[in-house]
Amino acid sequence: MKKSINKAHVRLGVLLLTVIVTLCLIPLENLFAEGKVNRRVQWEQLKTLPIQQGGRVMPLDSFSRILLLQLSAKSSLKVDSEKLSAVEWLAEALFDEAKAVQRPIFLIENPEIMEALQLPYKKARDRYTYEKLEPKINAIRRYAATAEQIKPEKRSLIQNQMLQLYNNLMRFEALIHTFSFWKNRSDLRFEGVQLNIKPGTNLSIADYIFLLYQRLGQIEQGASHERGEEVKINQCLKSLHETTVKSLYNGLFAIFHSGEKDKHHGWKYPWFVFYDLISENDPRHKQLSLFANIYRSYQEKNWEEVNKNLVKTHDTFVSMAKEKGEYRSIELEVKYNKYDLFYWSLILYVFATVFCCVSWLQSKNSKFFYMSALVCVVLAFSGHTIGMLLRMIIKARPPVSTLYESILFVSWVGVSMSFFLEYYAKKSKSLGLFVASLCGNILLFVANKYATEGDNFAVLVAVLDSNFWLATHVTTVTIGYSACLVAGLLGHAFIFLHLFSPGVIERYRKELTRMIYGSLCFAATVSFLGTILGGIWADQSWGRFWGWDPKENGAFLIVLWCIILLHARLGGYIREWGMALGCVFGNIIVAAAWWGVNLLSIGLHNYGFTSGLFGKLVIFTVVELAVILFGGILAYRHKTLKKKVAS
Amino acid sequence: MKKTLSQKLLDFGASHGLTVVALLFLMILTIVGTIDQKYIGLYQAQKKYFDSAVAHIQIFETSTHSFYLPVPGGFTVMSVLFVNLILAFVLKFKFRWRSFGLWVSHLGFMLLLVGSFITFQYSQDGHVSIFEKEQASSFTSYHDNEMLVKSDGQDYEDIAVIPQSFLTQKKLFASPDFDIQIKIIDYYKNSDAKLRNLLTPDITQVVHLDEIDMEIEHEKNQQGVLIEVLNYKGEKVGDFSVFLNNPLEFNYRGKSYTILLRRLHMGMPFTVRLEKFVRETYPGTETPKRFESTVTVLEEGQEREVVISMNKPLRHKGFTLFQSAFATTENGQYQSTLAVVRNPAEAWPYFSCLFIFLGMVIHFIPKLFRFVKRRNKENG
Repeated sequence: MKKSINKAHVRLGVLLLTVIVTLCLIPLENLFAEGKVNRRVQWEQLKTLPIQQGGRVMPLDSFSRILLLQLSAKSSLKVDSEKLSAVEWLAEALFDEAKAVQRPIFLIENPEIMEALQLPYKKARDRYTYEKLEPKINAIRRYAATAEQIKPEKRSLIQNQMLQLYNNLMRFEALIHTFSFWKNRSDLRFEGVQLNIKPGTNLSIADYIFLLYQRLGQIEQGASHERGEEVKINQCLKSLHETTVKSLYNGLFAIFHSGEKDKHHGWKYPWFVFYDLISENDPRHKQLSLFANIYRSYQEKNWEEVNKNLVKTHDTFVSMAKEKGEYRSIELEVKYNKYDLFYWSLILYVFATVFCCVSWLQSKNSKFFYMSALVCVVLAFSGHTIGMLLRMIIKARPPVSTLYESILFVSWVGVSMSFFLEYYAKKSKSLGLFVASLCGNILLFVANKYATEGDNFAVLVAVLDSNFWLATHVTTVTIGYSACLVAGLLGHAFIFLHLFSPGVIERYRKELTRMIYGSLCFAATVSFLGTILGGIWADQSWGRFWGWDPKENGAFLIVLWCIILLHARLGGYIREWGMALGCVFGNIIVAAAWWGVNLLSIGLHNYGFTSGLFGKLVIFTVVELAVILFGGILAYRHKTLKKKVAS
Repeated sequence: MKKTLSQKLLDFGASHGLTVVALLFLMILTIVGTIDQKYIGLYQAQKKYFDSAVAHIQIFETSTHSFYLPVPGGFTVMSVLFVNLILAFVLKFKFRWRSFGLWVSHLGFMLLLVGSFITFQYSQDGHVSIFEKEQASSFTSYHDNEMLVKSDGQDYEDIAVIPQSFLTQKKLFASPDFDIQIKIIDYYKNSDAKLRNLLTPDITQVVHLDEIDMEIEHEKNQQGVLIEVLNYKGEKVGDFSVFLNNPLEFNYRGKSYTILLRRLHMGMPFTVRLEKFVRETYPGTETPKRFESTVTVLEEGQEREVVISMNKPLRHKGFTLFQSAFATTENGQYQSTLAVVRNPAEAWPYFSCLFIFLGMVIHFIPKLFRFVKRRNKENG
């Protein structure tokens, strides 16, 4: 009988493991599939094309992902069961406007928006094409303009979303206009100028400009003496410039560079280069003509030629970037994008949590599930570590320099700490592992939500641009957050432990208490160190050690709370229960210090301001307070129970 | 054995209970003081909650009344902690090697409190704003004011400076050098003035001065003073309004007087001249990458050039100059603002925090080893 149960468990375990392994393999299979799907044009070539946007040089792959995430909250696109990667979508928008406007990419979360625009909709949170939204663009602009006049904190949800939708539409328009000087248009007609065009043919702006200048040349050479026409031609050129000036200043990303050391470090937007080239003989002429070749061969539907040109363009630009030393981490970044390590770590952490729970439900033969959980956590942790290392190499920065990275790092430290506890715990095995998996999955889940909000490799403002202080102060403060959160999670474990039978309670309680105390001491020390390092940084940068700035106060609150708990324990005011409940309260303090102070929108640490956070923080606080209340009731019951037993 | 009242009091003063209560108050102050910064700004929140003896926390507000809960302010709480610590040292702490770390960190904490008191009491801060090729040997306070009184006779000039405390306490200014006395009627922390466009150059007059609500950014507050000028006999000469940075000028008995309310000027033992200001942004963005002021320090006939940039201040003779802000004029000329700080207890936090941290490490590390050892023993 016993054996059969064992076998059943083993089978169940094997089944679960197989599920995980297959799930892990899916992305790999997908990665191969991306190449296998028969596509006539190999846009993927452009993934490692270096471009410049938002103050940094990045691969086109990253840019396309960021843009697509902003528009549709996804980093790829599904078209008739075929997956279109971000870079394929972007390239299509650059070279094939007609197709691009039919892609459903504009995420509209709220059907009220569609109602306001008097457009039909099927469900909430749906994606729409540019073609569908384009007729309503004036209405959207009006709504957005009204919303813009209201202060950000007073805007309604709909107003915010309308504004976002408008911005997204404008971004998309700018995108499809990147190379639109080559696009054949029917709306351009020039009266009073003798151009050698067959009636009915559509020409591009580039063609017209070429023809107009050619004609100007003819007039000047005296082939004909029509002064009136010369004035006309200049007027035409001027009006052409005026109709396209919007594209000129709306460039989304810069590809070309002149090698000059100007404000943009020589990086130029396509339209600028296009206009520059009319008058000058410029080295960028060759760069632009590479893209022109792609464009032309694409219009001619000569796919082989397109692919050839793609390779040539890519190689030229890559070698140019290499010469300038700007290709350093481009390929690495593309790899980083491709493997999406944090996502898979998150999934593995979730499995580890499940396995831990399952292992507790088994009375004795839980070794297998325990081992599975351990393997999952170790795998997830490796992915997590590699991901962070890649980020550090790509950015050439210490692990934390943005809010997004702080989540990754807090999670990472939390998992490491729990590993340590797991290793040195003797009676309460699997508890540390459970806390590790929770640290991993809760925080990486939050980070995952955060990753969609834009370029998370963004450059740093001058005051934060110091690798030394980022490495010391920011890192220690975030380790302090981790330590506090681990103590808080252990506090939760302590509370919920008391739902089990007295035997279980006895087995875990003492060691758990020691773990809580240890984590708290560590939290106090590291948070204190982090806070004073911040003070020293402030003293070095602004001349005052302490200025009661919100973020400083946040870090200070964590230290204070740890010190209060330690002194209260020393004075005998709180014991095991008090420490556990206190540590749970510590979680609220950490949340307030980490996220809450950003809501105040003031102070010197003005990075990572974020909206819609208030509600989530309130929910978190209420839940934690409920846990504390629940713990309080449990503590009371256990005390009275003990008294009864004693008497 | 029964304890006397004084013994009980001393015990209470040295107790952990007092520590915990004081720290809890500090925590409440910090939370409220942080949130309130959104509404009253950092400077005022600091004054109200952290530098004060008593802080009034607003509980709720009706249309006519606000209800406040008075709690001990930051100054009081920290003083209590200091006394608590001293009493604990005297009455409770017994030196053992095991508690060596605790000694070190608590001594460090006492140093920290003393250091912050010195900073609070004696430090000066302000700024120097200079254009390229311009120089300065004094700096201006961000917040504090002074009043300048000047009288021009036929061949002499008298100047007196009235400090801000004098103004806020509404005292009477009298000096043997002057034929007039000035009585401070009212001091507005923020005011709005209607100024007359003057046709006659010798008289400046504020037409009307109103007290208005304070700004969140304290630097934007424009103070105003209502004064009554008396002659040396104590007879009234006239009522005037003085508005920040607008000199009041009038004639009395053949002498012209100027009264000016301005930001407090403080001297530096050297002169700085701005040679060049550089501002760099990330390519294609307005995100600042680097600010840098190249200045020449002039003293006693000697010159030397120094580069001040973000995170790289100039420290000289107890003064520290930091790159703080910049402005551009219409013709593209840069004005650089350097923050100036003079703090006699500048180094104190470094030492005291090092003590506290080392103490904690000394105290906690053995505990960690015990935890690890216990496991090894029971496993082996």
